[in-house]
Formats: sequence, C-alpha cells, structure tokens
Amino acid sequence: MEKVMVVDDDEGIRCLYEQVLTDDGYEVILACDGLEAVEIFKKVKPNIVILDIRMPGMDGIELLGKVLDMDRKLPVIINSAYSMYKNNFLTWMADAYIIKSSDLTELKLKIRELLDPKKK
Amino acid sequence: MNFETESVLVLLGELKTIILAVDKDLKVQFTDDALCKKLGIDDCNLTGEDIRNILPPYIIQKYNIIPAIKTVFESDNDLEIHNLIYSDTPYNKVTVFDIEMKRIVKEIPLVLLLINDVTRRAKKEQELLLLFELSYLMQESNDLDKLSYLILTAVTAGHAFGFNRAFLLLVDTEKKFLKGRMALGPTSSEEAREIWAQVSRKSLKELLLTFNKLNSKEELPLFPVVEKFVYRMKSLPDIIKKSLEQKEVVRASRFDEKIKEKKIFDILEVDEFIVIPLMSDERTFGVIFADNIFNRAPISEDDFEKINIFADFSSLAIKGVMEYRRLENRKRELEEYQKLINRLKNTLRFSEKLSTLSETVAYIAHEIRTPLSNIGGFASGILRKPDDLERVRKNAGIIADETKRLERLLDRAITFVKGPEIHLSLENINDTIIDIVESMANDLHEKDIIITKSLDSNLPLIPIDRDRIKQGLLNILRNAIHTMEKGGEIRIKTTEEKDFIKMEIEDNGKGIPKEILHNIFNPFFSTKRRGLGLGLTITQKIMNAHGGFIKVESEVGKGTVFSVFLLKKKENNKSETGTRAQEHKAQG
Repeated sequence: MEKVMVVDDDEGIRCLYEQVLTDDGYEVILACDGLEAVEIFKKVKPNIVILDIRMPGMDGIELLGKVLDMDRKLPVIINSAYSMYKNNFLTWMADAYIIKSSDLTELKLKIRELLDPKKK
Repeated sequence: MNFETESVLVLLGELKTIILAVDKDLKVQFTDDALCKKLGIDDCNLTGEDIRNILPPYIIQKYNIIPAIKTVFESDNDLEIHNLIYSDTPYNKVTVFDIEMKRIVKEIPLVLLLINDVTRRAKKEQELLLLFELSYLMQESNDLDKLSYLILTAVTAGHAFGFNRAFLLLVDTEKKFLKGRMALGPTSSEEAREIWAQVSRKSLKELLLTFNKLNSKEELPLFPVVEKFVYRMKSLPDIIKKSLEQKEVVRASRFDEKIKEKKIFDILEVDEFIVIPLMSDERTFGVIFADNIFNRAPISEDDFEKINIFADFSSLAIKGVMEYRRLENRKRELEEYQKLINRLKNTLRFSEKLSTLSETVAYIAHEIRTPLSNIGGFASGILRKPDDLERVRKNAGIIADETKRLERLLDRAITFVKGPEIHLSLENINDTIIDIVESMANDLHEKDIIITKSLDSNLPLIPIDRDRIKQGLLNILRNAIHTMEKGGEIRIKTTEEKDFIKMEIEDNGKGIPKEILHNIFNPFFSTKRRGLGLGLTITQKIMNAHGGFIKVESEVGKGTVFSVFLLKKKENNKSETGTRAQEHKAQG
C-alpha cells in the first residue's frame, strides 16, 4: 500500500484528507506541523508528501527543504490556501502546487500521476 | 485825464503784460497793443469801451471780474485772481491767465488790470501733476492691459499729451516679435469731436474707468489697425530701430528721405507721427506710435522732453507688470506642483489602502478557504458513503464546527468594519477581570502560566459594555499568552488615575521589537501563523468607543505592559479622548 504523508496544522484538513485518501486505497500518515513531520519521517518513509505552507514552528517551505535533503527523489505536493506562494521560487522545488479546494479531484490526480510516472 | 495819469499809462505801455485801465463806470481808459493783438483787432482804440464788451463774458462771469473791480475801487486794496482758464478752440487749446487789479495812485480814479498769460507756467504745473498722477496710477496697475490702456490714455488725453491717436506695440514673451497690442483714439473726425468733448471734462482716473467697462482690447475701434503691426525683432523698421537706439522720442515724416520703410505711414494713413520707445536699461518692451490724424496739428518738439520722461516711467511700469506676471506665473507653477504633489500623495494613500485591501482579501480568502474546503470535502465524503453512519455522523460534526468557524470569522470581520456596538451598564471592572481569568484557566494551566491579580477594591463602578471589554481584554491576554511559549507570569493590576481607571496587563514573554511596536494596532498585522491580525485592532476600537485608550510599553526579552485606560464618567468628551487615544497610539 502506498503511503501518503499529509502535513497540515488544520485538524479538519488532516481528517478530510485521511478519509478521502484512505477511501482511495492509500495509507495516510498525518503530521500537524513541520517538526512532527520530520520526526515521523525518520521512522516511516512515505511515497509522497502533501504539505501546507503556513504552519506554526517550521513552515512548509522549510520543511520542503528538509524533506528533499533526506530524500531527493520523494515527490512533494504543496497544498496551500494561498496562491501567492506560487511566486516564491523555493516552492518550485516541489513537484506540484495545488490550491486548497473542497474538490480534491485535482489533488488526487496529481498524487496518482506522481506515484506512477509511467502511466502518464 | 491829467498829465500824471497820462504819463503813468505811457510808462505801463512799455511792459509786455496786457494792460487795461478802467474807471469807476467800467469804461476802458487805456489799453495796449498786446490786448488788441490777442483779440485780433487792428484798430486798437478801445478807449471808452465797457470792459464787459472787451473781456470774454465767460471770464467776466465765472471769475466775478466786475465785483472784483468795484471792490478794488472801494477798498483801495490790490486784488489778484490766478489761473483763469479760457478755451475757445475746439481741441482744448487752453489759455491760462492771472489778473492783478491795482489802484495806481489813490488820487487817480482808475483800476489797473494787469493780465498775464501764464499758460506755459500753468501747463508745466499741470504736466507735473499729470506725471505724478500717471506714475501713481501706473504703480497701482498690475494688469498689462490696464496699464496699456492707461499709457495710451495719457498719450491721447487732451490735458496730457493730446495726440489724436496712440498705438502700443509690445515685444512678445519669446522676444521674437514686436506686435501691435492696443490702440486708442477715434476712427473718424466726428467720433473724435465727440470723444474729445467727453474727454476734456474727465480726469485721467475717470478716463481709466472706461477701461473697466471694456470686455477685451479687441473691442477698441482701432484694434484692427494696431493688429497689423507685427515685426520680427531681428528686422525692425528703421524708424523704430532709431528710436530704440537713441532711447528717445523721434519724429517720423513720410517726406524724410532717410526713412525708407513707408508702410507704417500707409497703415496709419498719416504723413507724420512720433515713435516713443519703451525700454529700461537694455531691455526693450516696445514702442508707441502717436499721431494727429484728425486735427492735423503739427507735432512740436517742445513736448518731447516731457514725452521722454513719460516713456521712462511707462517702461518702468511695464517692467513692473512683467515682473509681477513672472512672479505670478512662478507662483502658479508652484501651485501646480503643489497640486501634483497632493494628487500623488492621494494616489499613494489610495494605493496603500488598496494594498491593505488586497491583504485583507488575501487573509479573508485564506480564512474562508480552509473551512470551506473542509465543509465541501466532508460533505463529499458523506455523499460517497452515505451508508457509513459513523462517517456520516463524524463528517456532519466537522461540517457543523467548520460552519461555526466561518460564522466567527464573519462576526470578527463585521466588528472590524462597523466598529463595535456598545451597550453600557455600570460595572465593576475587577469583576470583569476575574471572569476573564476564570474563563482562561484551562489555557493558562496548559501553557504553564500563572496570573497574579492586584485589584484596587475601592474602584468606582464605571459605564462599560461588559462583553466588549471582555473581548478587548481577552485579545490582549491571548497575545500575552502567545508570547510566553515557555510559560511565565501575567500580572494584572487595576488602579484609579484621575478621570480614568487604569488596567495594567504585564507579561514576561518575548516582548515586542521596537520596529514593529507601532504596527501592533494596525489591522492585519500579525506575528502569529494563524492570526488574522485583527485582535488588537478590535481591542483598540472597543476601548476608544468607551472613551478610553491603550498605552503599550515593551522590551524584548523582558515582556510587555499593556495599560488600558477607561473613563470613569459617562460624559466622555469624545474628541478629547480621541486625541488622547491618538497620542498614545503614537507612543505605543
């Protein structure tokens, strides 16, 4: 089972993603901020990471750097309520930038695409 | 007549003055040739004529000549009448007399009338007065058209220089052309007579009043003529050049062979005119053409000196007006700049507002998007598996929570936009504080923060909106807690201070750096990840609405003290407290 890590400080979002992605057959690993994500990352290797940007403590951009330090090839999706970070070149390191929406189709398609590049 | 009388009269006949001797019956007993010449009579035997038949009746009446003579006979005192003005020519050629009346010898029953023509002297006096009046009027006028009119009036007015017409040509601002600007005078002999009849009775100042009735200089009848004069400064006609080079009035005659350029004569339709230069130092302002087209009076050089003086102060006046205009232009330019600056300032203010607005929109978008996507997402979850009752219940619960979150957001936004509504009741502020602290007990315990209260038990009741004040103080406390990551102590103190009750909330958290201290009350300023940046803004609005204000002192590493001042009485002078609030905001 492929592991998706969701890092978001909003409990609602975490809960929602867990529900939706579990339905789709993924194993979902949740972290409420960057520090927790790094801790978990040391023990479990996810196949893909979904990151929020604005989080207390370590923000998504910093976390993105750390994650990529540990695993250069790990696919990362930035998932933010803001579109303004799209212009921040630090976010370009991520594989995708998806703005939060109640419709998770785009996010799900992206996850599938990044996990299975041959299908593209 | 005896010998003595006769010899006196012979002696008097040698003098240049017009001499008349009359007896008690007002009959002329002696006169001299001068009078005959003046009167244009060849046969000068006027002896025995009544004086009333000899002197013009106008003079006799106006200056009371007959009673004067009688007085001299009766009183034996001499009598002098000065400045008798007489005019019998159509173009205001004026003669001015002085008359002296004397008894020569008491025994001889004759009154001697010595009539002196003082026209020249009177004219000189008149000219001086006129020049004075002109220079005074010129100093007064700062409008070029008005000054032009004044100058031309002086050139044409009968009691001034009395030319039939005058044309003013001025150098344009680029100093490239000499152009006809204004002209004064009648266009026909009939009109001339009419105008002169009016003009002779008016003073210069009165004449100038007609200028005010004028809409534009183009209305003047001679404008079409003066308009024709346009010369390049580089190629001025000889006669103008000559006048400007010599810096004095020159006479121009069509028959002068040295003058090759005859066009001016054609435009003016005269054979003779004068050019008056208008210049100061080396600067040329223009010239005036003046002619006598209607009465064809020859132009005498006697007046030239006077005209030169006139030209000098006309030039000075024009220079003054030009300077004035230049300054006015400069002033206008400065005003334009000022306007531009103000416009830019406004634009800047507007764009600042816009940027605040766009920040607002960004924050609100974020704040709305997260709960909204949650609601949508969980609702979809229910739709996908409507039979999974446990999930339905869970998702519905989350949807309800997220809806509340949106409502709270909306409330805050509305409070921020509208400003808080205040419902006052008399309260003890200490009770309110105790309430707040109790409601926060869990948070405080969790964060390992203790609160020490030092409340003044003698505080009077004050009119406050308890809920609002709670909300306001809560925001301050939340901020304090936020800065105390490792726990600590918050001290709350209440005291009376003059018209106010003072509440101090002191924490030993991180403190606020000086650079951002002035920002803390600004909307959307937040150091918190999830902060909307409205908390302290709303707090300040609440305190201001109570006629109070907030003061902040902070030191990085030591902590922050928020001092909230609330008015004790309801009769809050809003403007005063408003100012105070501003001051303290500035300090904060």
